[in-house]
Amino acid sequence: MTPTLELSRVTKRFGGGHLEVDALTEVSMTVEPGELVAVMGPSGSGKTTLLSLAGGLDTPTEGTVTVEAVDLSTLGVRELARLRRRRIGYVFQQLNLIDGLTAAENVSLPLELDGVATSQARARAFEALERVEMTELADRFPEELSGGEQQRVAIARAVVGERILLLADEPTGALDSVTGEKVLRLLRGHCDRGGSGVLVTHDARFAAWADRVVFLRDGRIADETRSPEGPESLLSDAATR
Amino acid sequence: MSAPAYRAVARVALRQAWRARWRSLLVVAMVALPIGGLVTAAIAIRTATETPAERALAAMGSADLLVYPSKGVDVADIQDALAAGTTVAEQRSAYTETAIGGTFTQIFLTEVSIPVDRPPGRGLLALVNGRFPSASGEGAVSPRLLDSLQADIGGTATLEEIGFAFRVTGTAVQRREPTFPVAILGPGSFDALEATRPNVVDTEAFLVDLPSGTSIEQAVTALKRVPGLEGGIDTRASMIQLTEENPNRATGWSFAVTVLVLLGTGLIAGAAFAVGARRQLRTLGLLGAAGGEPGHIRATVLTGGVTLGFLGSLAGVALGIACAFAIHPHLNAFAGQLVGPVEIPIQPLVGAVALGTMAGALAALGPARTAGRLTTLQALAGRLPTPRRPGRIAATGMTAVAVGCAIVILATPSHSGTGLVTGVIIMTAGFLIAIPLLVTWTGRIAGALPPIPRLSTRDIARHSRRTGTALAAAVIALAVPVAVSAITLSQEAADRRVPYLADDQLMIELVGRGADWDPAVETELRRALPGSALAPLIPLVATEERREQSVERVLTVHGPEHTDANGSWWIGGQLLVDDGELLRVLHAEDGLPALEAGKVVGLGPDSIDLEPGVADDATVKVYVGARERRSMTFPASEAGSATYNATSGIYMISQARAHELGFSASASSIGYPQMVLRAAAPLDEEQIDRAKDVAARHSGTSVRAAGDYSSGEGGARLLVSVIASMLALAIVFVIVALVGAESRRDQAILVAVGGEPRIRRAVAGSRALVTALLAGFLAAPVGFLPAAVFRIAQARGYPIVVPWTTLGIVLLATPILAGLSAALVSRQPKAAQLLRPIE
Repeated sequence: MTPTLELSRVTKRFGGGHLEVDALTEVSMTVEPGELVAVMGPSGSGKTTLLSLAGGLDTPTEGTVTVEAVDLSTLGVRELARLRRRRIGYVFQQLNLIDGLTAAENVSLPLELDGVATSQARARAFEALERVEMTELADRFPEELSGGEQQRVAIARAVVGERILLLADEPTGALDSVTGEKVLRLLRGHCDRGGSGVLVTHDARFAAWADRVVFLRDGRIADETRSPEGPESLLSDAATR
Repeated sequence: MSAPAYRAVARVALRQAWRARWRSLLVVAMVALPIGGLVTAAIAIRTATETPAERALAAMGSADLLVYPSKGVDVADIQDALAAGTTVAEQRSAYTETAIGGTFTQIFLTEVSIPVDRPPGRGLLALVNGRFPSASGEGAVSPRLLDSLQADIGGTATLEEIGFAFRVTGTAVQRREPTFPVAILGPGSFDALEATRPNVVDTEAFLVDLPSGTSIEQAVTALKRVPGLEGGIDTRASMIQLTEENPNRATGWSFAVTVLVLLGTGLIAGAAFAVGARRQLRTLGLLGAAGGEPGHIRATVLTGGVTLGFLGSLAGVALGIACAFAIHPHLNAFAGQLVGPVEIPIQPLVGAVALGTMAGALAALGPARTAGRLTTLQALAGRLPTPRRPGRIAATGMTAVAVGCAIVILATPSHSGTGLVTGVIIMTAGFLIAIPLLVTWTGRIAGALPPIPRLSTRDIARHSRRTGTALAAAVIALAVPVAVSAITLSQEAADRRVPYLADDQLMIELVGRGADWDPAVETELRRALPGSALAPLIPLVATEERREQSVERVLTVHGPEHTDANGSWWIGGQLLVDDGELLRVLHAEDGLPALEAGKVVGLGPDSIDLEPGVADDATVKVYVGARERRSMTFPASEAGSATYNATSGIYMISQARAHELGFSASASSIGYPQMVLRAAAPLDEEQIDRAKDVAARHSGTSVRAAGDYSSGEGGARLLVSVIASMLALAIVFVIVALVGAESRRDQAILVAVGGEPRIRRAVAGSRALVTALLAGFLAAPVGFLPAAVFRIAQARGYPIVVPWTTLGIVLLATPILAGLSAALVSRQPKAAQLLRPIE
């Protein structure tokens, strides 16, 4: 089976000369269809950079990033944008939504940008909102929604259409544990339906929802675990070294 | 881009604009102000400008034909030549002068043989109050003349000089010159006057009203067959065609003004728009993260610009119309003619809306390009790339400044208008383009400044590309009042360049009372102004015997020939007799030796020779008679170091020399008898009033001081300068506020690290002061140089006045006010803003 996402010996370098910093060094990882991978690590370990590369928002200095076997470096700016409209969804820690658009409009935005008729896009947006149990608040603006509600709308936008890869950067960082768990359920549900996901998190409880956990330190993969049995298993030497 | 995609980005743009209402309002205001100015000007010009049809109406009323007079041709001759039912009215005129209350007054009398409120004379004048005259012995006068005659509507106006009186039925004005001292008389009013003084009344024209359906061409052909009709015939169509302006010239001017306003508005609005675009970076980043392409990002920014530009232009049109109505009562003074009700031309207004919308789009172009080039990550983080130093374009601007300067220098000696204008445009455009580069240079002096202004100056210099746009806009705004003030002050200086009289002189005239002064006038004037000297202007004539009659021939002097941009002409005047007293009164005592030596003494430099100084053997020609049949050459000299308009063209010869030559004095041939008074010191208002009181007690006597000759346009010019200054200040304050708004993040950091409010205010004030000061320094040459070049292009010797007051406002008052205002209105930002990107 073709991996949804594959990073192959990816290095990302910032700056130059004495200011040069390797945010990622020779990172290789894959995400299979239906798989949720959690990425953990201390601040500055390269988690957000990895996510940016995975979504085509940035380009690696060395190595390749492929999504559904398509090398992202062969795509132009417009093609990458199309990829984000159709195949890749993003969820940030906060400020995910465009202030001036309602929840439904935020969700339908990628479809409309892709040329889908407004009425059709709105219908599909409502389907996505239904999955995240936000249909009743579809016409609310972001400032009228709680943090958790905003994140749910962001997830709906990230999965609307036929997105196969969901990239979430600390989606529960600004939420309480109960709300955070709701958000994780949604992510899990997306993957259980055949989608793939990469979840960057600091919280071991939420990482436990993943099929696999990748540990980053200083831009390198320090360790990798599969099918954790519970959050406690993550509190190993590898995770805390 | 598909329609749904465009709808989506438009939705984002419009909602963002609505959410940032105050910022959007700023952009709207920045477009509305210049568009409003343009609309006000367009409406004022349209309202004040006579159309060719209106000019034809003022010239020939409602007549179909205007027949100019010919000897021996009268109303009946014209009537007989044309079809039955034709109405012919004779328009007659007379001119007289009088002195009422010590003030000299000109009066132009006109009479139409059919009441002027009926065809064919209807429309010649506009009624202000009362009614038009309908019968002999009635008349309507202009309001100013009514004041001068010291009469009222319903009262009687008496003109003793020509033995004429009429009852005033109302006030009326000529459309083209509402202040013109005109009196329109009822039919037949001139009959008695013409009987007693036939030379006073002239036939102006015949106004012909043809019956409907009559061919104009056939009527003209028929008239041309009238024996003796040698004067021309004008039809309404030919009158309109004659007065129609060159459409290409009008189009060219309109295009030039349009382009300038578009660029200026785009720059000014761009400063406001750039701030708004930076504030919505995260939104644009989210759009990118959701799959928006660079084209979608650009479209979002551009849609905002076009929308705000459109709204701004609508607001500008509304503002312009309101301002036009506000200034309408004062338009007569500006236009120098009677203006009707406000006329709102639709085409310029539609053009203004298009212009404002385009300006909004232009303003958004730069920010749209920048936003489209940002990566999604940069936009999400709200981080702009490290500011680049101004590049080749700014350097090209400096080159253009040098090239423009060179062209101006080369074109100045020859006053080549094309060369000068080209050079100024290149220089000014290059200057504006090079502003970012000039701004970076200010960073070099930052190190020498105290910490707070150093912070501001470094920030401005570091972000010169960003600040440059705002500064260019502020420069344009401030340059306008500098240019307007320079031009108006220079024009006033040109007007004053040759004053009418010295400030210690009065011109006394005896109007319509013959040649004999009442000796009491001189006595009373000396008593009213002790220490003053008076001298009459007494022209000389040569008496010739012709057919057993003595005929007086006027003696005229031809001075040197002058050549300027208007062509060639010579000055001259009548030859007067003087025993030396006139020279003293005219500040020309240095001419006494030449006068005593028997030379002709010309008053003022250039009266005998254009070169400085006069050669000992200089001569001048004196012509005998109006047709200059005989001339004599005399040795001549100049006297007096200044020239005054009221006493120009005066040449004197001594009594003894005149007697030798057989010339005699004649007080009647110069027009009205005149005397010049020279006071012991410059005259104040109270002294002038005393002299006028003396004149008022003596019928026909008028007194004029230097100020009585001025055009009175200075007030209108001052108003234009003030309006331009206020508009510029408003724009500059908004721009300074925008630049300051960019510093919110810095201020948040200042708060977070413990900066006291006074430090925060000082930083805000310093930034505003430095921005406004920079703009002022750049605006001074940008505004003054084109004005100076404009004056140079006009003619040699035209004065160029530096508008020091306006420069003081631009360089001192505006920066200080901006700094104080920014410091006072600076608010404590929430330190939490530190934690968020700019939004």
